[in-house]
Amino acid sequence: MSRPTSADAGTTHLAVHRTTRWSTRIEVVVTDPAAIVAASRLLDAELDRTEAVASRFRADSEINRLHRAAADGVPVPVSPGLADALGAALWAAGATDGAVDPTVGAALCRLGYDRDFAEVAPGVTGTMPDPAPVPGWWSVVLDTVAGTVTMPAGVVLDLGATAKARAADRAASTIAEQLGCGVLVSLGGDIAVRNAPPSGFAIGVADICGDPDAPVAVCVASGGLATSGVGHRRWSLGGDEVHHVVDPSTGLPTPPVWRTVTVAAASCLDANTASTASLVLGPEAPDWLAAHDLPSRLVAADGSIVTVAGWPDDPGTGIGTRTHAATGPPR
Amino acid sequence: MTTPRRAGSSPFRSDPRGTARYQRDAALERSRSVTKGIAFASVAAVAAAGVYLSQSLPGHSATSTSSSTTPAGAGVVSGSSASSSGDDPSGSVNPNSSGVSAPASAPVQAPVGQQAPVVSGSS
Repeated sequence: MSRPTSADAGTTHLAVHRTTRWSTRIEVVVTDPAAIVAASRLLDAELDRTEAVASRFRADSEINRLHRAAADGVPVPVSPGLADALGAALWAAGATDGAVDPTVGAALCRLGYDRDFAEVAPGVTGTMPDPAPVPGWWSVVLDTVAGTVTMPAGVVLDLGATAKARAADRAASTIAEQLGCGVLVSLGGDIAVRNAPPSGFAIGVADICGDPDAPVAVCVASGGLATSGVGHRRWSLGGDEVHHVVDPSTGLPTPPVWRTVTVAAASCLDANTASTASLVLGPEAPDWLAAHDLPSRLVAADGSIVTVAGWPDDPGTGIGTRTHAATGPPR
Repeated sequence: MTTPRRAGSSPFRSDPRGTARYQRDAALERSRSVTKGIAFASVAAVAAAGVYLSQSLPGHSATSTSSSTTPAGAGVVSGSSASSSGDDPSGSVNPNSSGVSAPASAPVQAPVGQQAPVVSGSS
């Protein structure tokens, strides 16, 4: 399903194309309405490439071939596309001291998330697993010179969050470069912006991606913005409610400290890395975000709001909003 | 007129105090040499242990084909296309970026009534 529409952003006329993929909303916005068809084709091509290399749910994806071929100490050749996606995931792990770890795949499978979310959403059978740390991102070695990956047998990679964000960055850069227009790419609310109009692109912020009643709208002029949360992509595991953000230290869903975290950063990958890490860091997240100077909006489980590093107050004089100041160095 | 020195002999053979001084200095010199040797050996041992540990501890792995490692340490072994983040219009990456990067400017509140074509939220 896809539908082009149009919208006004101040004096700039925008064209919007929406579709659904990976059980989520895919949107591209351009400042030149004549470029919308070409832009959506370029985005589709990028998503095709990403899915072919990084999807856990396609038996023929390259990452699943890597899972089957992996053996202790044996380098497995990988394509530049998978090297790029895995490199982004390992970078995110290093940048967050392992809070965002791509080796959570097996933990997600134990929670029942081993197929497309549309099949998981109604609920799955099973019992809540015991806490156990994931294998660890450091057990995966990507050699981009040789084009190989070495990792222990049995490690299951989940590149979901970072691969989506990286795809948004790559698609936005390609569209801006090839079509010469301003562009916003949103993959399930993970947003990359290039060549924005002078006032920036207006972006609503809500608990759920695409919510037409978003309580907040901000203008973003460059880079990326991402929201991670636990309000969506939840399911029942034998009667226990679980969600898709896993704490690598336990292999279980993160405790409900934050409902959603929205972060603006230099790129969509940076923003998604920080917003996902915040859910794992829990109470430490505001300090970590402030120390990295990342404008952010965190909604706690009780609905209270914390803003960090210059994120604008919510409309309505900021009632219910607490501004957080850094109290220590980054973790 | 000076007396030629024999190797290993004291230059102060006829002066008991000079001989004692010479023997003291020689002993000190030997002691200094031994201390220096121990110091060099210690530094070399620490360096060797550091190299060994850097390759064997989790988070510090390396392969023989790499030319360097990323600042993040493990996982990625370098290369010209090592991935990281960055708002580069070409879509290329910054392998030297070790931390999450802040935006060029913080978001600002959208003007009242301005339509937002997309909504960011969990998905």
